[in-house]
Amino acid sequence: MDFSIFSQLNTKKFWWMDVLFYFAISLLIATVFCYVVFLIKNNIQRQEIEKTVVALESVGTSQQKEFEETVLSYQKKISDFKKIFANHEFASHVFTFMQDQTMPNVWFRRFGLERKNNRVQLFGEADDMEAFSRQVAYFENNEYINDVGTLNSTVGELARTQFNLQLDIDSKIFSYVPEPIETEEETEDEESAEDDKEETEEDDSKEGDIDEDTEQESVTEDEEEIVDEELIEAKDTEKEITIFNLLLTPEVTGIIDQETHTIALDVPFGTDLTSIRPLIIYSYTAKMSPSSGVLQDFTNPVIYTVTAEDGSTQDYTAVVNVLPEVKQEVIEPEKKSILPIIIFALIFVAIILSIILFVWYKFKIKNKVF
Amino acid sequence: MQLDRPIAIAIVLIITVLLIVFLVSPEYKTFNRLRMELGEKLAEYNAEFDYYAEVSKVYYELKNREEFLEKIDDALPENLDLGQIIYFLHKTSSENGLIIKDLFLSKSSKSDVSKNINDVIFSVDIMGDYSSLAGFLTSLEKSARIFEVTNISFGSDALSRMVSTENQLTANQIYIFNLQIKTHSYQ
Repeated sequence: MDFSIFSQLNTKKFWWMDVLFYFAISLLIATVFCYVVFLIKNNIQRQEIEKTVVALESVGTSQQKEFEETVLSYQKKISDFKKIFANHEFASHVFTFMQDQTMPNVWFRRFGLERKNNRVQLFGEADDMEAFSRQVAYFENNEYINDVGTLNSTVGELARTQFNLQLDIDSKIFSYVPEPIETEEETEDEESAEDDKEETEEDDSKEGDIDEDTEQESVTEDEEEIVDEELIEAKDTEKEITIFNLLLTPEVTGIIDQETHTIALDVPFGTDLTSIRPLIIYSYTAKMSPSSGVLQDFTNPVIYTVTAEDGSTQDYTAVVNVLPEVKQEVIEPEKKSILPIIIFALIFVAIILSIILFVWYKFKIKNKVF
Repeated sequence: MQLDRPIAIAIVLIITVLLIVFLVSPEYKTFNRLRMELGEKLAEYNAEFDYYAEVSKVYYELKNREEFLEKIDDALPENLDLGQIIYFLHKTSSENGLIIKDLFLSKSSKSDVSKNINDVIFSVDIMGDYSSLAGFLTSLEKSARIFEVTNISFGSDALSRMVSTENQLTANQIYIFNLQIKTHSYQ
């Protein structure tokens, strides 16, 4: 290998050496230029940040801040109210349940309801052991009763069975809705029976041989009928679901279509649909099944039945749709895009400068020679 | 004094590299950091601006639903207002044909539902028949203020049947019902 080239660098003049020299000088100038540009740019950016900070502090007038305070206070209140309302339980529904589920030959002496332990304590009597066993079996097979515990029974006076029962009740009992008993046919039958009764009474009154007790009874019955009719007339027909939210974080608000009676809910990707607690607000006088606040599996559409005070029902179908995965774009500064541009600009400026300097140098030498 | 070209080139290149490493590169990093900070501040400013616009919008929407807000205020009052509760219980019980025998505040504690709310539990002994109790419970459940009956116990040596037939329900049977009634307030 010929190492003489290195010694020749000092003695001989190479054109590319001049090019390299001027390139290096140009690169140095460009670097200094770049530094100055960055200094100026940074200074401008600092000023802009300061301006933005000042602007940030001035955002929101005093009135807007008052509004904010009011809105936040109500937001908290509404949220608390929703939670309380979702957990609100109606003790009277337990009595309605007991009234519906007690057999005719069973009586109660004592009744105790412990909400904390979801427990009902009953002391009572049944006509016979068979009636009692039927009642227990009825409770055992009831969806609102989880367990029948502390069973104690003795045969007392007149061959009656005295018992002591402890029922572990399901919390859904507090939203128990009695099944409508009367059908349209039955109502019509009753009406015709009442008409017949009235006719009979009229006939009887014509005959004029009614004793005083019977007269009083018929008057009382008439009064009761009038009261019943008034009650029936006053019964509310409203059976609308007005709010249907899923208690997720963040809470999902359902879109209720009152024409098709469907509720559409969009939940974020990855939400477990098998166990979601809905918060449902429906007509005040109506009842609903399944009730609000009860965990539901929304994998398939769930039907909610709202029963108005007058007994009419309306089904709402809740359909939960899982939204597709959204890949969050990481906002990165344009570091990668700007750096190559700067390097390229630096080299470009250096090349231009070196060419200019080289041409100028050659021109100077030529002028010396000639 | 004339410097050798190769040495001069080397020196210039070294100075350039040093300038890039110690001056340009840190400034470039500062430039990026400031650019990001400025972007964040601008985003924050825009978000804050939008937030207050939204707050104003929500405020006026709330104003339009003042009726509902009043209901919420009634259901969850700021103060306990013991006097009002006692008056309400007395009034409601007498309206339903019940007589309050004993009434005392048994417990006041933070709610399980929300830490902002206090649960207040009253123990009430009331006298009357079963249908009156049913009416009383319904009145409590339909009242503007939220009341929840947590415990009920009653009994008698005589038998009573819990059936909806009115004659069997009323049966002139007078009980003393022990009720635990829970209500809520912020203070």
